[in-house]
Amino acid sequence: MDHYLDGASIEDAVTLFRRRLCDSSSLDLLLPNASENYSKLRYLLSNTVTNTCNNSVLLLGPRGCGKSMVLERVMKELQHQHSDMISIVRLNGLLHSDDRCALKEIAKQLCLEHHLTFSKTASFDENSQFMIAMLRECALAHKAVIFVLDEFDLFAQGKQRVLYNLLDTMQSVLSQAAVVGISCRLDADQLLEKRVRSRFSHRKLLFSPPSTEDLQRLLEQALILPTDSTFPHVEYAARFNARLTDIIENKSFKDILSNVVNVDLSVRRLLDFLFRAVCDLDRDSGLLSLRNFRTAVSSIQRQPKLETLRDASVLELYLLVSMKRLESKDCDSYNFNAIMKEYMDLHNAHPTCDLYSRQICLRAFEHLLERQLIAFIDKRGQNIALEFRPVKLLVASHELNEGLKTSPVCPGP
Amino acid sequence: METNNQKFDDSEAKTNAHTPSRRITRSTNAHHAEESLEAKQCIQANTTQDTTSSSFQCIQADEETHTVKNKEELQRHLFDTFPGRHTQIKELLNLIGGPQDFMTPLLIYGGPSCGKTSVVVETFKYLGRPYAYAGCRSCHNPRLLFESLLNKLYAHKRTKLNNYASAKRCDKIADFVQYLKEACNEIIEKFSHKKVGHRHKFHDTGFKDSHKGLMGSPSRDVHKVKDSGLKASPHKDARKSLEKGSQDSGFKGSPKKNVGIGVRDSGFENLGSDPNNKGIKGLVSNGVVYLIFDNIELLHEWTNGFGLISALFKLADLTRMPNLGLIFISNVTPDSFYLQTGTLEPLTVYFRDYTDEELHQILLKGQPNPELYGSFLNAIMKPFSRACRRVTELSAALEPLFQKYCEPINKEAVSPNDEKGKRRLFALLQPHITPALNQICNVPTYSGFSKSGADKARRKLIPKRSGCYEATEELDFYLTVCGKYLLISAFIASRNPATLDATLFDSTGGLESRKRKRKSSASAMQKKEYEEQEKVLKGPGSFPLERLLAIFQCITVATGEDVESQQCTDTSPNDEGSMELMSDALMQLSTLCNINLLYKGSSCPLEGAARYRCNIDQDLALRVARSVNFPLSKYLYR
Repeated sequence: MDHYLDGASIEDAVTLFRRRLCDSSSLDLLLPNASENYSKLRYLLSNTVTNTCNNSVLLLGPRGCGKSMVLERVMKELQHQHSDMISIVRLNGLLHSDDRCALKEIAKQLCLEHHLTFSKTASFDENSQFMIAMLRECALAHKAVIFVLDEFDLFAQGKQRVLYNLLDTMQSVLSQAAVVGISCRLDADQLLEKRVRSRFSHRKLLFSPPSTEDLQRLLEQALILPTDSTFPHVEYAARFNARLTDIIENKSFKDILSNVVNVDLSVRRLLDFLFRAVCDLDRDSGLLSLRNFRTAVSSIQRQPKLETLRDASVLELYLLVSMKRLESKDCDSYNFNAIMKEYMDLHNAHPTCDLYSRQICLRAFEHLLERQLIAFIDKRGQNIALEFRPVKLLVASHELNEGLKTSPVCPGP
Repeated sequence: METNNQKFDDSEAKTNAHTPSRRITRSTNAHHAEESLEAKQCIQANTTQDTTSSSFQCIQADEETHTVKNKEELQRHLFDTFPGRHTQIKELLNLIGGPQDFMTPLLIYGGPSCGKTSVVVETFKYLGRPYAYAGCRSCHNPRLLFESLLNKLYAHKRTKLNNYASAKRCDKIADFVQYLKEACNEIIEKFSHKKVGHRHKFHDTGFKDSHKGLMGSPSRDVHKVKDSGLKASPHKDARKSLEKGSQDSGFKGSPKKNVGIGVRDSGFENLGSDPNNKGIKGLVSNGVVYLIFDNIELLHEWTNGFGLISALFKLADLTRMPNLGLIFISNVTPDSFYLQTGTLEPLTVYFRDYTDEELHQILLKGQPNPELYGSFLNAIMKPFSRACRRVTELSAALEPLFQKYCEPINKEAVSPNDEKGKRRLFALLQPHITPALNQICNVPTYSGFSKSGADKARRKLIPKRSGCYEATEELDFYLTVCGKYLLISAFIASRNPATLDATLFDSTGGLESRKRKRKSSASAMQKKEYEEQEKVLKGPGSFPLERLLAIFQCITVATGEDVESQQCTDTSPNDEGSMELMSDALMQLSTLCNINLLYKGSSCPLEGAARYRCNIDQDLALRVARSVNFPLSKYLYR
């Protein structure tokens, strides 16, 4: 082992990597067409702040292509420029998709921003009146309010009263506000009701997913250790970086990377992949190796059904095979009784030692249901006995074949 | 039974190992287990009733320094406790990382009873980091889930004093996110003081001892502090002066005393001034708080469960706290969590089922006589593991069998030590194996599919017609004679086609017409036979109330005076019969529906009347018939 290598430097490096990979805001990579969107959005929002222009805009694009990041940056910069002329209200569709809840949250954040006491018991009407009054006050004070609606599509689920209220206030001159919606559904504006859609400005900024080259750059950015003063173990960092560039140049690593990227182009996926590799980092040498990446790719690309099939006991496999046979006989719906009959037929044709009584089979059948290898066809008829409820197979026949081949307990073909 | 099951799953978290006796402790004092679980889940540093041993505290204290040696120690302990889980434990520990390491959400999945919860909870117990555990089975709605997590984070105990109230009242995810932020900040604040001490343990052993003492129970404290030679230090009320104490001893023992004080004063943020991490900006800002959600798949059945799941997966983003470690435990595979808009996919760790050798090891664990049990397992495992590989079920089924196995030894008829004796024992055991195999079915296990109903309040007992009735020829529940006849007639009505009623019950029609019917061509007959078979397999047919009552009347008349009189004594003493009988029958009918022996469908919009279905199988029906001496088989078509 090298003299300059101690446990602490490795731990520090791993901690640093994990922070970078988990907290995506710490990575500053702007994808090429994101910078264009950045300037557009910045123009729009600064228009609101300085020229009291009410705006509404949707940021659309698949997950992990920098929508929120661009918005955060724009707002940070605006806040920096006009420090007390902006107040931001953040809502998330996952949390506040309920109208009442959303308005309450808006009122709460506005209260917090302006040092008012927030009453929990305020009703929906009171909250919405409060919001309108606040917006008017803010406009008189030349203070812009920016509403950020994350997961915008979820706000469009119910009666869209919040969206209506917000966009309606945009129409009046008595307010100075902007609504920014973020959604991964490209058709998010089509989800709006007519009355809401007519009040929406129909400005949409499209974000495209990163290209393979972008991801490659991102990878390097995430895994290169800093050699300046921010990281104390300089020699180790240099060694680590040299090894990393070696790996990245490697042909088989490129194969692995394209394997990841071909499945999913999102940044999140790549970061997960790198996270896995970093967690596996060999603590003795302190360097990444190809093996780390190989295990990482196999553990993020799992085949749960096959794994479950591999776990199934012999009897459970027999039942699955019986179901498969029933399906190949064009039996459209079958239940436990039918399966049991098929199982018995199977045994009459090829007698083995695996003939079990009905009770045991029923238990195995329940296990299959728990493993989600089979499922009931309909949710109705809860009270009908288990063995009469029709079921369906949840594994495809090729999966079943492969599962049977790889199963450690399967007794021959 | 279902409530029991719910408790089983939670007590699973408590049990340390897969000992075969686990099931028994589960079933007998499930409730107690849950209570103690609650106690244990409180964050260790804050609990006042910390009953764990001092060696535990030692490990906990050591782990925090995350030196390689202690990680190995923990790993070894886990390996010993959970045989057959080595790769998974390693993977889990790697993914969790050090106390400062952020992590992406983790989904741990695998079949029931393969040690997911036990491994995770045991790991965190020994890691000594702030964590909160909540099982979605015992916390069956969002409010309970959120509040129990917050209670644990605040180390809040619901007692009579606070009128069993939770620390915070919150039933919306939006509120939860708010409170969670506050709770986590508070915890990090608390833990930061503790961690300051641990950092300095590197340099000073005297401090280590006093610190260890500080964290133990009061009686041990005094002792430990004396031992460590810090008599002079004024740690009288050790627990109260935890913060002060760590500061004091840091001051005393550490050569870099100004560093110690600086850290103490300005709190956790300045930990970067530690010589180890000097200059790494923002690298050591705050520790990670872990939230563990068990049985996350149950959320699917909650109202708006999918939204809740995706919100929980993104909790770190929503709270804007990257130092939130989220661990989800699920029985089902991760593909059932993929949602339409493609929310965050957590990293997955797969706990596969045990192989035969691992099952052998697990079942052997905690046995008083491992040698004997080992040879017993060798003899018996094969047929069992082919049918069922679940630890809980196996251990339950094997227990009585082992008693049988031991019987000849106890009588000193056979010596178990030589090969011959073993063979003889096996021969003696052979006849018992198959019944024991059937016994597996009697173990109450979780059956999620039977309770997936939207209308949970109206959920009824699904009759278990597994081995329960097999052992005894008699019914193990009481029904009135009238009820039994009703059940029989319902069974007949379900099984036979309605067109056959006249043939069976009409005294003039009789068997001739049935025979005449059968004189069609052989192929048509075969086809018809096949269809009939299909029908039986498909399940019981439905029938209107009138048909049931008609058959009921027919069979009570057919079985003669004897039953009639019996029935009258059962229903009413007077002799004017049929009217009284009718009202009683209807009452019995509703009883049968309530206990789900009959199933009452929704009423048909055209006919208006509800249709019924008989929910029992032939075995049970025959047994009921036998108990009233009714020749049921005579009335069954085919």
